[in-house]
Amino acid sequence: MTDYQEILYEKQRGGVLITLNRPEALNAITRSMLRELHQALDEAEADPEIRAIVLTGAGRGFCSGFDQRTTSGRRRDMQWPQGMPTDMSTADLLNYWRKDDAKLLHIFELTKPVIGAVRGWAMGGGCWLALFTHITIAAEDAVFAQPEVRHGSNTTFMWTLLAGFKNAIRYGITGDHIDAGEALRIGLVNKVVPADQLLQECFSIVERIAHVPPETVKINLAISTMGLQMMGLRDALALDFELSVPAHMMLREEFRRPLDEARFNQGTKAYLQLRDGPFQPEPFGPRSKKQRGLE
Amino acid sequence: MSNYETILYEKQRKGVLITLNRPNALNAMNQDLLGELDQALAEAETDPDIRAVVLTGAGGTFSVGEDISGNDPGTAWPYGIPEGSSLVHEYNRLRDADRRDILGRQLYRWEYPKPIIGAISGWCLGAASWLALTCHVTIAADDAVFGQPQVRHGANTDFIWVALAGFKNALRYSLTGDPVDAKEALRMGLVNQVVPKDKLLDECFAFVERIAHVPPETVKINLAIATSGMEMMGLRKAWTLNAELAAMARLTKREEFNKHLEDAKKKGGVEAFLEARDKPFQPEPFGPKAKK
Repeated sequence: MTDYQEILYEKQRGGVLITLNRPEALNAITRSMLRELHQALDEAEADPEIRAIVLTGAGRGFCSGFDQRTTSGRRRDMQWPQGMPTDMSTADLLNYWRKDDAKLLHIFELTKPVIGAVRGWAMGGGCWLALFTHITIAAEDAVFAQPEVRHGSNTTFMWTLLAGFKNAIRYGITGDHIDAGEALRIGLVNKVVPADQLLQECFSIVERIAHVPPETVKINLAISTMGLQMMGLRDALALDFELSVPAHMMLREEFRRPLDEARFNQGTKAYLQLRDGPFQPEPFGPRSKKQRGLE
Repeated sequence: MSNYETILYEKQRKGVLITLNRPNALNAMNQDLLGELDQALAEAETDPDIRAVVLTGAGGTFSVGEDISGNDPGTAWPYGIPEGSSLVHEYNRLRDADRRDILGRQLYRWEYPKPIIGAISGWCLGAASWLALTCHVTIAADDAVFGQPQVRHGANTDFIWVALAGFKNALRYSLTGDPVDAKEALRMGLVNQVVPKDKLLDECFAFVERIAHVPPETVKINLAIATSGMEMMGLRKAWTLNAELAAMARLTKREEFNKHLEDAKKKGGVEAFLEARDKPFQPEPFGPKAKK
């Protein structure tokens, strides 16, 4: 077995629990974590004792998205009004953003079921990881969102596939947070359970899957995943990856500059306050349940 | 009008009620029944009195799916194919059957120029769930149960589950064979409406009568905008792949998963087979007994 630094890999009950394990950073995704995740998925795929994979996050959240300090948002002195980093050409930027580091299709096309176990934050890239799993179970405290669209970034077509056109657009163009109940309603998740039953629920599905012959599971997974590819999902995602370039490149001074200054001069907290303050309270976020009469 | 043996064909209230009628076998679908269903649909298609078809099952249950009774040939292990047969023969046989069922019969019903309304009560399992779900409108009685338990002994799902319930919901149930009750079916979009069992046919024919107020050409074209639109979006491609994968699903059998099921069937018949197959999965988390 491989030694992993940023994830945990724990075989159990006919499957394996893969845990994104940087709880001090709410399991923010780094490039090295992604490498380990994909390596772990390959390891699980090749292990005949493992019938399904459960993917979760350590501590109180699933994943807060791409680590702003190490990946997409690392400090760059921007030239305004051009909206270009000082040390990069447009060609460099194009090449930088066209990389599909997350390899989400690797998860989607894996030949064993991947079950997402989501509690707490599933934001940005973390939300995408959850969406690309084959089955997703949410704890009651789960929150899904793509707040990165607020500082200039893209959504993923997987939101449209799962939640439908109108729901995906409603949240994809605002970055608004949604709680587990709304996620269930629009189809991002299969089921909502109390947080302390989350892993138990996921592994009970793993054990049910383990009663079905492996080849049958593999083929029925393919009827669904490859069927969607045939229906055009692959085309939509190919376009999606291309559109992530202009989504990140086309920055307006009045929208972006105050955010960069807050982040680099006052820290992440001030930056998040500046970015998300105008959107609060979140109409479908976890604190709005009472307003909606759900409690 | 033709004489049917395994179905009933009863014109009424601007439509026709086609009933799968093998109640002693819980309306399990054999080749005779599937052939007669095709014939009945062809008859209704050309009858101008009939504006829509209601499809149901006799005896309060829709259908338990493909008929798996009868004497199976012995299986040669570890190959998992019938004794005396070959891999190529079995693959050809299954593939031809799946192409006929999915790209033939199923696509014919999907493209049928009059609305087909599924009236589903009781069991609606396996291939019968595909028959129910590919109806243009599906109304369920409150006791309806949908499921694909056949995946537990090595068989395929159908992409219609994905098209209707979405990716995650379809996989949740097609990877395990777990059944779903009417309420869960409504939540996921497998059915349009859930009604009390004694109102099921009345509700369906009330809907037929509403359709009959709309000009036939308009109904035909609006049906095609939905069904052909889905085909243009790729449903036909997904089903083409589905037909190929279905044969693979039924061909790849493992001794440790299948042999004990076949032994149970040989000794104790279908009942013993079902017991051996489904017991490890009980209780069913979304089945009708799990409501509480």
